[in-house]
Amino acid sequence: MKFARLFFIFALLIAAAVSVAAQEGHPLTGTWYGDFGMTTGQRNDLTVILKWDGSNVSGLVNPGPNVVPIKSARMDVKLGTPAQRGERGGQGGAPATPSQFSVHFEVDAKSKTGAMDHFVFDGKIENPVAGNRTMVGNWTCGNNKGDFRLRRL
Amino acid sequence: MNYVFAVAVLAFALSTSAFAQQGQAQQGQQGQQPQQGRGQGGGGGRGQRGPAAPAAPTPRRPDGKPWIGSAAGQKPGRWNGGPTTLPQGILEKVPFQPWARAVYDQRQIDQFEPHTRCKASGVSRQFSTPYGTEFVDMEKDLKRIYILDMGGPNSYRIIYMDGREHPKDFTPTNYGHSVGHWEGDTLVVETVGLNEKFWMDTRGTPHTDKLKFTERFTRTDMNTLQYQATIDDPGTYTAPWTTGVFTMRWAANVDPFEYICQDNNHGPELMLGSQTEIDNTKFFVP
Repeated sequence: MKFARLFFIFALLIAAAVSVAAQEGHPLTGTWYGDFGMTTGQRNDLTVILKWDGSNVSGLVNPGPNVVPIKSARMDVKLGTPAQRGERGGQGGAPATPSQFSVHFEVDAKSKTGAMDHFVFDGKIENPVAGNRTMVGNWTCGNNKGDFRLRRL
Repeated sequence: MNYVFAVAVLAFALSTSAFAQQGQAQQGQQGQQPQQGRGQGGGGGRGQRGPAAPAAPTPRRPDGKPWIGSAAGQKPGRWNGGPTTLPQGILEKVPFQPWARAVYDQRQIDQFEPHTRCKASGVSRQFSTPYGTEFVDMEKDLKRIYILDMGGPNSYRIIYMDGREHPKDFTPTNYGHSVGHWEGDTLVVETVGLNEKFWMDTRGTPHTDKLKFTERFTRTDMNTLQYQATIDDPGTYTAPWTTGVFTMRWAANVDPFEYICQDNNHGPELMLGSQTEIDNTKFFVP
């Protein structure tokens, strides 16, 4: 029990260090922490570390003894219309509508029975250029489904 | 007892506000100095009236190269008016990756710039710092040129002029690793090893830690420094691209001064959260 607590603290410190190293680059890069579940009352901790290499997104889920590599991940953007900032910004006069940042990642994780479960997460980044951005969405695993919510550390 | 406590609190509050005002006054005085300097030598500073006198020629070192900053034996000065938007005038030609264009556009709406949180901001962002930027040319003695921030986090960048190469392996930093050389009268500086903790300009032109940033400084006369940059970042752009030419103006006879960014900061909401709410969930300033 004591070891588990120490390990949890260690994992959090590692996660914080990773997130500090990447603040303003690709919106996915960094460490995300939150939970997922089938109902609001049944939640499970979820830590996701994502890294953009210039053309692909890779990452890990729940770093530690039960770490799982992300099988595939991507972020799709739908451009909005930029805010008017005058000539210095070189922008047009259209009203501001934000771009949409959608996220998709898949994970194969071993269940308690030893079988492999295939999780699919689909969500969106709510405040993509803020340091405390959040990712919310839904997940499916076979016939099970629910929601998730992550905040970048 | 309560009376004593109230007096103590009041005394503390008065001493704190007096200290803040002192700092503000000092900053105000310093902030006015560049305007005095701009009027000298006909640099064409903002607000100047009448025809500008021709500027003095480019000051030169004993070896014939231009002094990019203050000339030895003369009063120091600094450069004002650096680039605020690297894509200025060429935004639609910048080869953004889709995510990068979306981030750039979003940053025109949500301006959570690290510089406002007193973070050291490298490459071109260093030149749009309040109160200007000073070059300290120590190439003759130390084979280095220093670039000093004034109104930012009071830090500096080192440009190595001794012909060294970039390290093979390093931890990325806000200012990265800069090496420089001369191409005629133009100082060319290449910087790598940059982290992702700052914006390259005040408008949020994005980058990743794959960035190689090349700057060209040309002092065309006493009061004019031309600046152009090439951005090579395969993590953010589909091809390298080069900015237009920006012009910085010389402010003469001004000394660097102490500027503590955290003091009297008028944007505390930018340090702790969004522009609409305070976020105290982090134990460090993001």
